Amino acid sequence: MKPDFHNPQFGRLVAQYSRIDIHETTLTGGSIALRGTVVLPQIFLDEHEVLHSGILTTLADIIGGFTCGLASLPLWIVSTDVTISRVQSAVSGPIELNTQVLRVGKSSAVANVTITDAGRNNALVANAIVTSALLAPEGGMPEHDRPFRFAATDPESLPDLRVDEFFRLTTVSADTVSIEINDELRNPWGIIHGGTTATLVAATAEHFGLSLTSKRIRQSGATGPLYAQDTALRFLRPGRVGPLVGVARLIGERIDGACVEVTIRDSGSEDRVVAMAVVTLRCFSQADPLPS
Amino acid sequence: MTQIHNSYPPPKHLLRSLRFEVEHRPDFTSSASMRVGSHLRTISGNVEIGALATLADATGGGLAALAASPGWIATSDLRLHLAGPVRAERIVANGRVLHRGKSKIVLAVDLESEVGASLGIATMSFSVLQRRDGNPIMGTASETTLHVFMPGDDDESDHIHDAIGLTRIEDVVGGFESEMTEYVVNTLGAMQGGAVATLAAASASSAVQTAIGGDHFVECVDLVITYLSLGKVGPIHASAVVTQVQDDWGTARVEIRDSGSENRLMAVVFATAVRPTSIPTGVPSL
Repeated sequence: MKPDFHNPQFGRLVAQYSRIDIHETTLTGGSIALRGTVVLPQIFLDEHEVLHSGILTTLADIIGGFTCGLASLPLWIVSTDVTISRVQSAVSGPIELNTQVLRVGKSSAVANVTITDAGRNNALVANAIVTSALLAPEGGMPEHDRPFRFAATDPESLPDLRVDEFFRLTTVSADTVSIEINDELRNPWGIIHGGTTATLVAATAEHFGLSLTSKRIRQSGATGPLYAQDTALRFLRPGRVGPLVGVARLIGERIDGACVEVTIRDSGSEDRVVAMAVVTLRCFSQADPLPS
Repeated sequence: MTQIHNSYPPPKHLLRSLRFEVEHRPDFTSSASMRVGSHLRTISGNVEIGALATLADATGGGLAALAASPGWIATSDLRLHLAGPVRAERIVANGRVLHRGKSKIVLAVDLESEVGASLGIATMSFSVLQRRDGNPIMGTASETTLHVFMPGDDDESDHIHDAIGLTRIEDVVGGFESEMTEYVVNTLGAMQGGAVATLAAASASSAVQTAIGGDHFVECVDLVITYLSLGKVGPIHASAVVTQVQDDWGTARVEIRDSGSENRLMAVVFATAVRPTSIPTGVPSL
């Protein structure tokens, strides 16, 4: 699949599915800053009102990537690393994502993303860092109107599928989850979208968490599922064919949760490793949110 | 096997305080071994995560330098996740290349005990730079090389925090600082990544400990460090914001700044600190 940045529909469905509405907030003479707002549809939440871990990381990847890209023009970017630390599980929404460029170099850019819950007094939901590699698209980047704006073209027409359905997640075994790839799950580079990979990482880790029953990681008495709270995700190579297969292994069970390594392979591309992540799974908690 | 001798690090240096040796092999794997003295332990007897981060950084850095040859490298980030507080007498660090590109190299370093129990994993990425005069010679990728890091004769094995010169900044949450000295310098003349990790861990654990309250002592088990700029002037300052607190653990976001260089942001760190109530339940490495 070839890159296509000039077709506004190509490679944009994951970003549109995420329902993110992005406005540029850069001050005159200041470094690039964006604000994203997401009115959370019920399909992103579970029975505890917890935002799907994969969607949370996808949102950070999308707005962090746009921030790095705008700071790198006329080049554009591809995400290489996303780290996210979630501090609040249940959310009311809308959630707000504010970004700031931390560094732009010759070959990479780094953005900070702060995610808050406007429905809960702007309580901090998560902090994230997105690192991107700078690349030159063939034919150059199309001009962006400034201030920059990105929004779903027609929100009413967006897929109303639950996250596991939209991303075509399939459970293979206790430690393995896969995704069948179609063109809707790609990005404008024509490769598998970082949000697709991030969602597979979260789904694999959390499904693996169902097999962890140790009292050690449930000392607070919580009985619900384990959620991906901290994720350090590295995109190592482009995913191209699929199915993508995620496999989890336990690093250790700790007093705060379980530490799990997830490896993502592209089974249609000689089974090569396309991403690797370390995820800390923790029980759902109703801790008082810290003010943003 | 060729043993490599370099002028870096100087006789009194953080890397030498670790008293470790590391072997790099032509298949782009490495193995390091470190016996942990009391100067590398916390007051509860566990291994300082700063020492583990320094070991991982040095093991991965050497391997990345070989993979980048003839170029040189600078650490872009370091993510260290422990299975829990580490008690082991000897730490074995096994490095492997995850991705070897023209401008970036990504590695993993698996930390294990002598008997092969998994103690944690570090991953790190390195930017590939043009080699400059003074960058250490790492040997060639076609032969196995051994690098030994041992202290000078007069080394008295000060505790790692004292040797780095960590001092508390009063009235700042997680406030710690360190002067730029020869002890913490890296091959680029900036604060070495392991020293930054040690400073960040002190900051995060102090902030979380204060937030939990009481006499609970906490230690970091995760350090997710994104390096943004080199700290060359100093003093290097750390401060923290606690982002989550439970009875036995908490998380913090730490910023490291070079106060002598317009307070420039050097690194952002996400950290988890826990009460070290028991030893880790690591599973045998696969």
